[in-house]
Amino acid sequence: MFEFTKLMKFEAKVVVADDVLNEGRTAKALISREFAEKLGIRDRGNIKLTRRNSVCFEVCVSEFAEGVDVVLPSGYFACKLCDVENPKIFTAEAEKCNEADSIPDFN
Amino acid sequence: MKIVCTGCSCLCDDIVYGDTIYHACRKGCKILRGERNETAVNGKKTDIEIALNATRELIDRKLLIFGLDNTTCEAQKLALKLAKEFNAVIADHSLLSGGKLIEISDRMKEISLEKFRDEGYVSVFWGVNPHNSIPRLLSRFTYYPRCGKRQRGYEEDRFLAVVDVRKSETAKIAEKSKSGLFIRIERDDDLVNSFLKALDGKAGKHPEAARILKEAEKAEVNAVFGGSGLSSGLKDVDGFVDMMERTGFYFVPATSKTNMRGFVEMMLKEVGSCCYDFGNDKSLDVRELIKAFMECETVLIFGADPLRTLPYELSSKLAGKRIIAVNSLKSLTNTLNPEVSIASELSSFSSGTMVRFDGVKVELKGIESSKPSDKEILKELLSI
Repeated sequence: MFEFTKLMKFEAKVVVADDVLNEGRTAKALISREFAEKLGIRDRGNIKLTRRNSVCFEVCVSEFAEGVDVVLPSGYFACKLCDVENPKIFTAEAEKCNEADSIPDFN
Repeated sequence: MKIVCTGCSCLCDDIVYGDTIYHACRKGCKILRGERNETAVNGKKTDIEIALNATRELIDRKLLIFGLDNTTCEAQKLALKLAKEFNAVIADHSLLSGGKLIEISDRMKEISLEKFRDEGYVSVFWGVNPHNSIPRLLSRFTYYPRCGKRQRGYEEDRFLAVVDVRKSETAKIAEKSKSGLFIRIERDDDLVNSFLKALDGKAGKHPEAARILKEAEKAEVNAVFGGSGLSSGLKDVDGFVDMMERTGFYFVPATSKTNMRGFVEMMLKEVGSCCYDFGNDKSLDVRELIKAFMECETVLIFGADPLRTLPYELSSKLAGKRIIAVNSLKSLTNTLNPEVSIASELSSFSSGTMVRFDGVKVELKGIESSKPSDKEILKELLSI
């Protein structure tokens, strides 16, 4: 069946936070339960955030994202979306996607 | 062997390092057990002398020195000297996170962590989540310790308030505790206004401010720990300073970068700004720093990983530059195959001083090592 939620885009309030447990090669993010329901996404689903660049994240539905929509661990992927004026908090366009990004091999 | 952990700005001096590491937090263990960097020129492993010669050939053209937040004060001073000698731009992360708080901290009452541990009652964590950024802050100094005048434990002798835009791990501790509260804010200035109104006996947008003030009456020593969230969200600095003065709270700039305070204090004393261009003899703001990244030819990175810490509009300017990366641990920037990569010794094993985020100087004893420290590398480059 065609998933209409795949076409839907929402504005997400994003916060960048230190997170020592989340520093693997795959892009991961915390997402609030409310926003996950709005997007029609479950734990370990994937979302694409677009702001200047686009990054696809594997999400974890977490209480620690309550108050905002998405929490990104500081690092390579958060740096791709933030800018010098808004390094900590910004809005981005969010939509469902199929696969999370990984840190590229620069060699 | 007892060492000082340089994993964050807490600079814990009780770490026992050996086959097993005792007392270190997750952040400290990650640094102490991290994969060490290798010295290389154009991707080929080499020894330190060849790497230093290659560096000397590269640094004489349009140089930008970046990083230095994880190095000792002595190395920072030498880096400033190098920047003066080569008319270079020198910058760290402070323009983007937390530097503003260190700059304004001398306008407020400050307190050492030891004094707060012995006497502190209300601790307000504003825009900082120490659970992840300074993991031992709550257990060593602010909320959990029983010592000095605070012998009855956190449920009776401490009050924890967390101010954040989201429910962080620290906020959850405050929310669950009988002696704590969590204030979710949208704008930092709203809470500043609420405090000022509460002081005048009026109700503001955040009524919790009045409760914090009421709790603060129970003790003389109360403090606000401001983090990068406060630094980026606070617009009315004068209002905040006024609020701090009227409430009588102490202020601690809780930035998580190891020796950012040392760097900012040195730069403010020497040149009056935390980012300076010696070529044009002027201080730079963040937009001018982007321009400096674009215009430089060589970037000398000390103990930093710009690909992980700088917004893309800054780090993308590194493409096509001649990069010299001095790092003790392997970093993402090292995978860009810099022209020169120098493996330095971890700051924890180097001798020198660092400034903890509360302004207290911490001595690092250092050990015998085959790898040079940042200070020794800079001395070689300056031919001292």
